Amino acid sequence: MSNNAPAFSLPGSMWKTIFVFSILGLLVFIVGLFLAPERIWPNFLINEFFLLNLGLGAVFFLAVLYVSNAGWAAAFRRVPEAVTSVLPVAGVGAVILIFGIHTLYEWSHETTVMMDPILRGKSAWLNEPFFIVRLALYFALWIFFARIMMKQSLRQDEDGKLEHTFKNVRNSAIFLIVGTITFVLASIDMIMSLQPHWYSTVFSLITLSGMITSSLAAIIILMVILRASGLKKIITREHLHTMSNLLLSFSVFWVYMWVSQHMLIWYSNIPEETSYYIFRHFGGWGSLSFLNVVLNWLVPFLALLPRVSKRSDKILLQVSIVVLVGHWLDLYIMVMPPLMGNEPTLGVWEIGTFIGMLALFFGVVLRKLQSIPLVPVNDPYLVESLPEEEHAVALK
Amino acid sequence: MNDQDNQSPIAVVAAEHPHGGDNPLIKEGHTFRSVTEKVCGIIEKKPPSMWWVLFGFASSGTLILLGSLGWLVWEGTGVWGLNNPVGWGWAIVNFVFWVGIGHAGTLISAILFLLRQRWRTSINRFAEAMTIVAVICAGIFPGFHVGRFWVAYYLAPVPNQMGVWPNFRSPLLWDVFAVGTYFTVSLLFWYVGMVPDLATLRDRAKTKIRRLVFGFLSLGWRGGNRQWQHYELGYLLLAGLATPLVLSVHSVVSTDFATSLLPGWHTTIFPPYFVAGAIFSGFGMVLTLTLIARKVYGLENIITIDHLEKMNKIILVTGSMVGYAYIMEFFISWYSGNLYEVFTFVNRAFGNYAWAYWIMMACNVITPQFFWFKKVRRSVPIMFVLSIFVNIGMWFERFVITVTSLSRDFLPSSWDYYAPTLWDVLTFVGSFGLFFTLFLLFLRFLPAIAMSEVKGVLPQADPHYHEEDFGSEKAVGEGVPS
Repeated sequence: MSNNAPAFSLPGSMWKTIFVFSILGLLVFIVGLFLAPERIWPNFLINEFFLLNLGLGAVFFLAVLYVSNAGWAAAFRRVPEAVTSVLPVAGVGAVILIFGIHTLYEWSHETTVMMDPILRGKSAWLNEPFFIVRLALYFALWIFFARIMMKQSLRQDEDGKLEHTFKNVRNSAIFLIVGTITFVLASIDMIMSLQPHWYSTVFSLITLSGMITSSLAAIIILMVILRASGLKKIITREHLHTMSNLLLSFSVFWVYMWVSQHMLIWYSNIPEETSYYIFRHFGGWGSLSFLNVVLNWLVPFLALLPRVSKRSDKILLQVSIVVLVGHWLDLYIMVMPPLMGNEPTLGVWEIGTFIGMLALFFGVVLRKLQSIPLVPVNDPYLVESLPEEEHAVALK
Repeated sequence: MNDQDNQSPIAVVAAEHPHGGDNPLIKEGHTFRSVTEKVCGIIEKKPPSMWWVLFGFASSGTLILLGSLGWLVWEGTGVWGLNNPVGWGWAIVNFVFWVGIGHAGTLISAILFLLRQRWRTSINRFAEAMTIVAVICAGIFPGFHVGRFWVAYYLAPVPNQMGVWPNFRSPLLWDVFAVGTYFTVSLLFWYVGMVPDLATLRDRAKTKIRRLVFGFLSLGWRGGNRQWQHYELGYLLLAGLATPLVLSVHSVVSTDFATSLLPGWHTTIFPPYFVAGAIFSGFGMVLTLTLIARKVYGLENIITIDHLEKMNKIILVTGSMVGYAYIMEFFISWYSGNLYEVFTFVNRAFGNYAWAYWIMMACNVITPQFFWFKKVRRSVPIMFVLSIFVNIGMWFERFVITVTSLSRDFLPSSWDYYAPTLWDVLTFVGSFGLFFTLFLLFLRFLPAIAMSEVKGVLPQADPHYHEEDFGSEKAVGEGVPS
């Protein structure tokens, strides 16, 4: 069955911009490897983790939609589906990351570990070969689930069978378990182990909530782009409204996790734990930590409370951009202090790699959106997601 | 449109299920009138003999509670089994247990309302009642544990002649505020939601006392358009206020433990972990009560198997979150490389209280996993048994957290084994008596199902429902809510 849903195409000039920025990002990374490797690797880690967050967050979003039999998002489900296509790119990033292990992770130096009883105790988990094996396993599982869910969804376009939905419900349920466990461990491995003496049980939930918030923000930006290119009948204001409710909720969830960790460590004042915030509480880092909460929580919270802003493309776009920048800052504060010392620095290495990563993300996702049918026309829930007339238009 | 398109699943699903594949929320055959008759009938008719049997048991339990508290006050807190390292025993365990139970009601009524989950309508009223009753039960324990309960008002920041002020840095004081706020808002929310139903009862009242009491409680409700507009806005605002409270109460309760320096208590995951556990236990208890009330009053068509299945899914999700927290704590205790952390968790699993730990693990981690299977989610006897296990497991969770960490503190010379006395046990059993007494009184005297909301999800509430026979006798008869 042919899909008569409207297609999407980006003007050539936009492609050029995206291409130029991705290449610039790549150049910054390559030049950085020679000129400032100690600074470029942490930046690479931030952007690698960010890219992985955007892709994996979309898989979580899809999985939750499937297991909760949510119908409202069916019409624009191809957007999060396209976002998951950055996971293989992040997988390539993970391979590159292996070359930066020694610059990034203190526990990867055998001589340091030998002299440090605590690191010796952890060496069963934190050692180079096992780290690489785990990293490979995480990415393999994530890419696998993203692909099979996408495949079922696209097949339904072809044959219109309901079983694809049922299969995806099952895949999603399994993914929610597997995906949570692997992401939680990946956060510990990739980010928390940068300060290998420090530990916090809620840390992975901060990264998890940050992942979903930033991924939702990216999906909203893509929805606004698609709406601007003439798809307002497919991606409606109602969809934006619900998405911004989700963004609001998850940004509150993020700050809840952030406060849980911060308040309890501050209150108990145990040296092993305060070692984390000692770095991040004073001077420039202190101001950035404050800004972090403003960007990730206060701005979306205040901006998205009124109903008007949840239904406005412009405000949503602005808030989503703030959240994406906020998420970068969140990761920057997690990654940089133990590696880069007392004061934060912002230069071409930070900005160049971040912009490059974003350009790469939008390039990959928009290309994917051009190549797949934009509406899952045979989805049983489409009728719930679109008012009747538009539904008919999509089907023709 | 060609034939092939007609065969598309959208057309099929749309034709069979206008709500995208969901079954109707209320089983067929119910009209506005029959809902009113069914729910008001519970209050207006004589209670079934089963009610008296249950009430007999429950009120005896309440007497046990009063007796054991009386003895506690007369003799002092020494009648409880507390000893030197374990200064917090069953009192705090029971407090957290009951507060946790009190979470489901407001989650169902506020959060599910904001999420537009219309299935909440059949169960929200008595889940909310359960919340209020559970919080009352919870308040008893810290209230009496202070020793001189007649000066418990010192907990509030009131000026007094001794110049004693509450310590605002203490999480125990935050608890007073958190639980107090939660109770107040839950009570308001419950009452506001009940006003239209109370007016229905007033209008149907046959005795003077009923007319007076329900008339007073229904605040002059006439069901006019403007009243409904104000009511719905007020309800929405209260839902918005209650939603953060669902999360904050148990977060604050968790800080009673987590702000300390004690391994096993001080861990950053405690706030979300306690909230998940509270919702888990709350749903366990709502399920237990729902299944009993549904059977006793024959409410199977209003609280359908679909409602129960959805509740079981929430139990599965929150139970898995709790399981995640257990495993995460264990993993990080090893990862921390901290001797005391490692000892605490190994001691939990294999020390003196290993029996309690494994009861907790079995009930909270394994039990909910059965709900992966649709057959289990839709089988009333199985879910009843599982819900009891959830209740047991969540009590043991609080016991394990409180007692294992305290009984093995930093000085091995002060280690001791804690065991409750008869009075601990009687007080706890008695609190169940109070819980069921108040809940049964609620079932007897107040509308247990939110009639006005249930009517809103009936097919007749669709503005287009009567289009075909508009003006006919049927439309007039059914369209007007009684």
